Amino acid sequence: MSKKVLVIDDSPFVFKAVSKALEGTDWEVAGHGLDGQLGIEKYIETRADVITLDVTMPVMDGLEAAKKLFEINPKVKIIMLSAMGDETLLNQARTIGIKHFLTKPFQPATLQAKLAEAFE
Amino acid sequence: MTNFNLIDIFSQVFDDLFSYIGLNHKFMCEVPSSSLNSTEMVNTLVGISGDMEGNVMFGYTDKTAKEIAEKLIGGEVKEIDIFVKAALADFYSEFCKRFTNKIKVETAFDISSGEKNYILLSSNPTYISGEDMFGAISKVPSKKLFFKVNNEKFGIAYSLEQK
Amino acid sequence: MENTTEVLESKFDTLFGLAKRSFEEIMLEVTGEAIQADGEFSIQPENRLSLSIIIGISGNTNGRILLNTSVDYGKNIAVAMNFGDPLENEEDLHVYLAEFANMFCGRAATHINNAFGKREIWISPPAIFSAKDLDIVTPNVSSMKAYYECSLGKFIVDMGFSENTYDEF
Repeated sequence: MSKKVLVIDDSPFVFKAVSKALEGTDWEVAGHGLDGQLGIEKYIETRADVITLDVTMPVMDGLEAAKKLFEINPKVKIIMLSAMGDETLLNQARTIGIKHFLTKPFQPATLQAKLAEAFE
Repeated sequence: MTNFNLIDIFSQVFDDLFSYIGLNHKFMCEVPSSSLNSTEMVNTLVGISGDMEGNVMFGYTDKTAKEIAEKLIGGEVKEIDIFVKAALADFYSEFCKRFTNKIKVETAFDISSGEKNYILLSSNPTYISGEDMFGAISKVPSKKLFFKVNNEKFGIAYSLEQK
Repeated sequence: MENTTEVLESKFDTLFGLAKRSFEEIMLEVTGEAIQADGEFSIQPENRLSLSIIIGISGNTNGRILLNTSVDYGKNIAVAMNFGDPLENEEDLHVYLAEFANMFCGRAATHINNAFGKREIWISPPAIFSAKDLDIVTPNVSSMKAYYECSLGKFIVDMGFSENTYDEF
């Protein structure tokens, strides 16, 4: 049975890049939330095993969305996906409870390894 | 969270500056906008960053560009050369400084918790012109305010997100 | 003792070097092609349709980054990002290039802020413009350009700086 990943990102490119990177693996893309609010709704609907979460998004940003996701499920597994390696931002994310980070752009193997690490 | 109305702030600054240089002006309405828009012939883009980030784009006609420059330079302007572009950059730089300062004042009243000051910065204005131009200032649909300056249309498109 | 102009020029050289490095890294990671800045050229698209990505810079240093190319070359990057598949519609070109620009600028901001050990610059989200005879001018900045020619086309990274006079910094 395949494991499910939810992509919360305002960029259709990232959604497509994640989908392509996971072709032929035991991961299945369960959905795409175009902002934090929609992403939370998608999570409630899909209960994905792992979420890839962008930081800067309209309506509700990734940090705010992560807080709400942890309220819904304290054990939710999140990989924060960002173009910026800003330490302040990463520290804020760590404070919220996020343990996994990935910088864009990413190679398929790197994403697969990160998903496996987060899933364990 | 902050609680201020960007449309009010834009229209106040617009009114202040155009009154100051003495050009007839009027705020008309807010118009729906998409993420990709055909633009006016002449545009000026200013990037905003800090606790709010995004872009503000002023779109106006060739005639308005010359009228603004004439008021600032103090003489007749026949064509949009580098001096006119520099004058326009100064004008929109002033616009954005006043805009960001007004927001800082508004947010200063909100910050009663002793948290850090609201940081808001604007980049150097960039002049953009071309034929059949398309522009996207954000991945998400931007907002657009429609004004008139001496009966010519003048637009402010903006996409600003709280961080 | 170095005068202020020399100090600023040296700082701008460092900033520009980091921006170039970021562009080269992102091109390699996104398109798989290693590129190097080369001799000067101009981009004159056959259909006159030029494309520019503009990213505002503020902070201790103010200015902007421009990535200049043609619509056709921009499409080549977007198709490479789309894993070689053609774009579904014209609007996707801007979406893909905005993401490319985000990655480029995010990397540049990271390198710059790491090198200066503080929040030296803030970047604004990218804006993308295409037009016939596109004319883009940022007055009052010192501009530096790097020229890249590769299998995807011709690209010019143009970074303009001015020292900030804001009272916060």
